[in-house]
Amino acid sequence: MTTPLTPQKPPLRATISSMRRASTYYLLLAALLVMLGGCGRGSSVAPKAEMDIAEAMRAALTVESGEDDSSAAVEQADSTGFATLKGRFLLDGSPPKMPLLPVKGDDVAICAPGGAPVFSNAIVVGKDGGLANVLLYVTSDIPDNWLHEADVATATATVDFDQKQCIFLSRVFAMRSTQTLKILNSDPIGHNTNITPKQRATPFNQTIGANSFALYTPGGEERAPFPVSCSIHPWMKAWMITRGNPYFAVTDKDGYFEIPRVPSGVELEFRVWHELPAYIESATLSGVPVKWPKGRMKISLEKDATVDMNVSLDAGLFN
Amino acid sequence: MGRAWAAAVGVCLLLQAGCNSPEAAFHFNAVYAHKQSGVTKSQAKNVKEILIAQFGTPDEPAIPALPDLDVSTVISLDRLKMSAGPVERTDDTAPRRGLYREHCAHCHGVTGDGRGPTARFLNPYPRDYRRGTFKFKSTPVGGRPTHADLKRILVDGIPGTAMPSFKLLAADELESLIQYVKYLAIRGEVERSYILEIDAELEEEDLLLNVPGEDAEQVAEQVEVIQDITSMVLSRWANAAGQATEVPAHPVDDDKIASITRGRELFFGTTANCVKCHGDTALGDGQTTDYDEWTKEIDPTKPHLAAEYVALGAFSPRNIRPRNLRQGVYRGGRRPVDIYWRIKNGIEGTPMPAAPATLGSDDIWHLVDYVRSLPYEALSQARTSGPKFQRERN
Ligand code: HEC
Ligand code: HEC
Repeated sequence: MTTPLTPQKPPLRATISSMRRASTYYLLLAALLVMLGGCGRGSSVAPKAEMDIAEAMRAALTVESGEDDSSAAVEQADSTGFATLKGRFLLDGSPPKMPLLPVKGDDVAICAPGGAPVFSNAIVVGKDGGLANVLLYVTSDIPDNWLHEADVATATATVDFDQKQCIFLSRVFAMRSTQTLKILNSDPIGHNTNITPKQRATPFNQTIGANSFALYTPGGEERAPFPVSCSIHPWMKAWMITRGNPYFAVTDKDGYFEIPRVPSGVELEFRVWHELPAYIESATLSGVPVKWPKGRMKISLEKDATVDMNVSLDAGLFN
Repeated sequence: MGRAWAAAVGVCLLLQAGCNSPEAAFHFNAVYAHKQSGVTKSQAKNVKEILIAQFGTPDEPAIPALPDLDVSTVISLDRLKMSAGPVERTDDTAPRRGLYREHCAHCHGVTGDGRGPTARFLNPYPRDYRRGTFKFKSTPVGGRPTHADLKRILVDGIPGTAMPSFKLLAADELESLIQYVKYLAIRGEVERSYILEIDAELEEEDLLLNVPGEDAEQVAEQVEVIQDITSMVLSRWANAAGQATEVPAHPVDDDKIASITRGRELFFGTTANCVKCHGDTALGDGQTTDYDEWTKEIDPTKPHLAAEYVALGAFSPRNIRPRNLRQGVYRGGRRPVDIYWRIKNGIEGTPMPAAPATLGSDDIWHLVDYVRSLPYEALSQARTSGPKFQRERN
């Protein structure tokens, strides 16, 4: 009566138990991997610190830094006067499509009048491909006595920063860290302006009533732009930088910029930045391809010169 | 079969034990380095070593030496020792150690990165101290919490969250833990600044501190940069005590109802705008799609980017909800003065903004009175409220 099972097939029980055994090993293996993964987290990113190096560093860092002779010893070249740096940024190619902003909530009547769609203004291209909102700023140390008196006079001025229809009217905004920002609200609804610097400027997050304003004093310089937002309308976005010197500009809607009264006769380091690529590292300057590592552009201007820069940027940088 | 399982469990336990082995180390802030993108592996190693030189290790803490600032006025190494190190209780006469790992690390992590083993299951997540950002304090946005602020958090805990009260600890233990929180925060802030410095200034092959190295002049310059950053961070903590926001007395009038009514008008009006986030019924259901500042750093609105940070150890992003003000649970403390500070200064690191500067202290007190009355206000009363219509006419 017994019909033999096909010899190749092991009995059912055996199959199950060997499957179980296999699965146990897989489980074990999986558990091992998980545990190892868990241990490795955080340390896998960088090689392990070496204690003897740390000891040597501790010694170097505890040496009393004596008289500040190091900076005095380096005799800096002096500026010879002033010059003007101006120019235009053009986009070479077609800009990426900007996403639709999620304008929602009970303020839509004011933020998107008539229900019109609102698109991000992260890229604004004007006449003939002129690229708006490119930021240039000098990162070299500037001694106080290099400043033109017109710039000394505005060191503690108040500058305006406005918002209307739930859009910050300046997408990219630069100011001096000693100036005061007057944050206007030109809407009949309330906003709050949330400013989040990274290092030395003070953060700020204050409600600004309908058709009112708030004052902000950054009190410190930042090296790179940082975000500004509104928590009531989270789609609102802008970028800001606070600088210890007056040598910066943001390109206008057609890509033009001008920085007057720049110290001449000395080499200055500029940074070139746009929110999508962040530092702009490659460009075509007056027809010649140039590399600006970390957005660094070095330039030395002659006294009373007006230097005109024609920069073209590959649209590929903005994708 | 049983034996295989036992072996599996055994191996797991062994490996787990390996994780918690005595040589605990501070984790590198890989998430922030990824955000700044320009930090190489050897630069990351360099940062770790500089931080060990300045701040020591979890078992053997140190405090940095600075030419222009007496660091011991901010944190005292002697005090820290009780909190540092592995949990140890040999006998009653020996000085205690390991308080932080005993009471805090399973939530806040050995590094103070808010990523202890239980952390990912909590909502809100435990505080990551390394931004230097604290929510419930008497100082305005940008100011560090005062010693008294931190002490109150430890004594009272944070109601409505997993953060427990440590009221039962001895005074010197509390003191040590407060200092240890500052120590971890300062260390974390300095680390973030080094990462920014590298990203902004250094080429790929350069280090922040070339020690051991030949070039003494270069080292001197690098030491200056490092000390400058460290003292910037420390002086913020040193200045905190003087920055507490003054709280003028409550306007003296017996008419509590009038004060609540005025507060209610403000709450729903277009000057204070509380309604926009806390909602028409104050249930915390107004603007609910924003994130806190810790989460914003991992690009929560771009899931493909957020995933990269999560792979490096960050927790999955979650939206932050405005508080439901009908529950009467106040995370930053329920004394009127606590709520005054929350409304006047906002809650740093969260969307909750400071009240407009145009509101005087009397108005802030009216808001406090209204907020405190909300748990007792009938819901229907709020929905049909007059001030809402006023808002729409504007
Ligand atoms: C069970 C988990 C848990 C434990 C244990 C724990 N915390 Fe917390 N802690 C939290 C959570 C969650 C938060 C965040 C609450 C929030 O964001 O509202 C927090 C927040 C904090 C804050 C920030 C307060 C602020 O104003 O921003 C400090 C400081 C703090 N904890 C210190 C400690 C110390 C010190 C210990 C050990 C003595 C400890 N915590 C133990 C969960 C914990
Ligand atoms: C932009 C959104 C927003 C606005 C506007 C806003 N809040 Fe908040 N509020 C929040 C968020 C988010 C929290 C929770 C923060 C946290 O603890 O994580 C909060 C928390 C609170 C708390 C709880 C404090 C505690 O200790 O638990 C109170 C009270 C409060 N808000 C009152 C107000 C009042 C009064 C106003 C108007 C002057 C207001 N809020 C305006 C977003 C907002």
